[in-house]
Amino acid sequence: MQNTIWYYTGRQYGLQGDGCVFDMEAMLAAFTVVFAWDTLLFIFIGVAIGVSVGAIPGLAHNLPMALVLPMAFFLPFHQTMGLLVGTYKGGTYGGSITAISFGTPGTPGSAATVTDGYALTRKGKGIKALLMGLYSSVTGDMFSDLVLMFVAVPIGLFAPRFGPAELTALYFLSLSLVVVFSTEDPGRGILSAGIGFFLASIGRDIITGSIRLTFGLRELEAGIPLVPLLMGLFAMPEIINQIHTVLAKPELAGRLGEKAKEFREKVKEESLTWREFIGCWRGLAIGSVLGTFLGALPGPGATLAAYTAHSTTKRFSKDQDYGVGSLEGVAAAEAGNNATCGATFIPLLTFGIPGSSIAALFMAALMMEGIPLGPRVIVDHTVTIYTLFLLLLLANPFNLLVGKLLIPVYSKLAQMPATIIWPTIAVVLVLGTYAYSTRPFDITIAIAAGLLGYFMMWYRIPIGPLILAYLVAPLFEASLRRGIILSRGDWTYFFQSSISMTIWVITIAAVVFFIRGRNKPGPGEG
Amino acid sequence: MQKRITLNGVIGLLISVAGLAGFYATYGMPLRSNELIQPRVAIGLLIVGGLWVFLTEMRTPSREYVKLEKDRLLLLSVFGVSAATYIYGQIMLRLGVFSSAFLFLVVWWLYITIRDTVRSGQPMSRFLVSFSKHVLLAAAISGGFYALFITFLQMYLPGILLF
Repeated sequence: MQNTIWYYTGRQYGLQGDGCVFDMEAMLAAFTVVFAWDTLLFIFIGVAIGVSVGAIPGLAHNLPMALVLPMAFFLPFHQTMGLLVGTYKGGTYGGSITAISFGTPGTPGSAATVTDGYALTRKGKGIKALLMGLYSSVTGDMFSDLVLMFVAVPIGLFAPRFGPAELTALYFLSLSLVVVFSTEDPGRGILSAGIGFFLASIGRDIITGSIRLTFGLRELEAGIPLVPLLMGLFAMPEIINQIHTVLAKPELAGRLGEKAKEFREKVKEESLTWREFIGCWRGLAIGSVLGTFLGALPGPGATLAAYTAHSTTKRFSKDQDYGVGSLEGVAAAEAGNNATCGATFIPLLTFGIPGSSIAALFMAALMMEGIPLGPRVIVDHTVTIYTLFLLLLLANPFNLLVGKLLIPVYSKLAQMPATIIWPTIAVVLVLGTYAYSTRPFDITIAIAAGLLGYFMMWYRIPIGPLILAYLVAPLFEASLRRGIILSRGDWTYFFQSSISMTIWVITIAAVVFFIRGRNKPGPGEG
Repeated sequence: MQKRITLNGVIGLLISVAGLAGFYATYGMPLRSNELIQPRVAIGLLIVGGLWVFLTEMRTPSREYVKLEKDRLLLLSVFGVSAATYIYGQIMLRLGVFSSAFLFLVVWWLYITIRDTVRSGQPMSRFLVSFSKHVLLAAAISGGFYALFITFLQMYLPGILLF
């Protein structure tokens, strides 16, 4: 029946037979299942749920996906997976809506979008930013899905070569890129990374379980959770700023039934043009490639991918407004964020390794359907895997459709008076933070993070390196300490393999390139 | 080149000094040296970053990033919003989603409506109309949150008295 035979030699996986990667019969069978009205309906419902929930700050798509998961027991496979894939993709994109409209990321992955997206909204270019967020999300997502379909196995073969030494080098590279690229002032970037590292150190030691830096608070023994931290860092400073404006300049705040003054005089906001979209090709390309690469590695996730893509694109962008309201910044962050969607499945479908909590949910759903994941899953369940590939591809146009339908709604909401919208956001902040893990202490963490975020805004410390350091620190520490244990304290272990050496060289080259670029006199400076 | 100590630089220096104190304190912690790698890296970054800001500010004193805003309303906003959010969180845990959101929004909008009425010199009848609209809006928003978080997402809330 199959034209292609996958074989295992004891060392690696390969292809033999007629050289065709795809089994056409299985693909046709998958087509028949996916292009049925019921499957399409479930994808649409999933995307609508995902976008709506993803747009609520604090509620990541894990929650609706976890709620949908039990349906695998009584719905057919294609319907369950359509619902899950739609929810996942819609949720990953949906986070950018509130990030752009209110400066409050709906999901952690969309935090990198806030800088440029919200700045564009404040300039009265909210619709452009929202459309760019949508189009770049779908572009990154589509790229990632195609990569999954065509190069899943080669990438899957490469990933296990990353041992503690290579991962340590990779995480160091990510951190260096963000610190040097995210700010004009490296001192403030280093400060931000230091705060991130410090926050990540709080709680139990990941190897020994000892309690570190909790200052006697039992609630901190589990560490500082990401969602309250992000909600506080992003939402609270903006709430404080807006309430300050309401108190200091009441005439600017607007009243119920009228739009905020900054939007009032604008007749009609311009939409995103094709030329503007294509003009951001650097951001789209860097975001898609980095997002796919980082998404394929177990651990980094969408937040890290989005920040790395955003800060790397800054180096190559010619947009003078990058970081203070650039469409290219939105494109890079959102393409990076969504490009992890397809890539998440690469380690899952090739080695049965769930690289993220979302992948673990998909793994659970597939196992509930009686599909054991592992190296032989593509051979033993070819139709099922092709069905999943097609569902992933097909969810993208649905994402585009639902996103386009919701953009006018959110752009209207963004124009509501500050007196109405910001107290409501404060309510969402508390409810979303609490809903995340129903821990009352998370509200206190969000408020403390908000005060820290306000200080950082006041002192012009960028938030990007903090978030990245916070995410990378546990991964970095785990790989570093495993490496130290494996090498019995020999630090040269981290520079022995060709992969790790290549990454170290790239890191040094990137930092040198950045420092030389900074010292080079600009136009008119002589 | 003219050198000057700025507020930015002083804050950077203070962060470095605090970092040094923290680094010294790690030697008194009941943790193994491997367990202290990450905290020490974090503190090291704070020390280096703070010093870097201080030195940059000394060399280029014209770069005025931070203005010390002696604004009473700003301080009020910072601590007021933090306190109000905390109080709302505590009320939410005791009164439930609907009642707490409704109370929070109504109290805030009552203050805003009174202030707007006084500022613009509008009659009492206008105040009542405006406040009634806000009360209806608060009820609608609170109802929406209740439907979303409790009915749809089945969020767990302990000790709910009213919804």
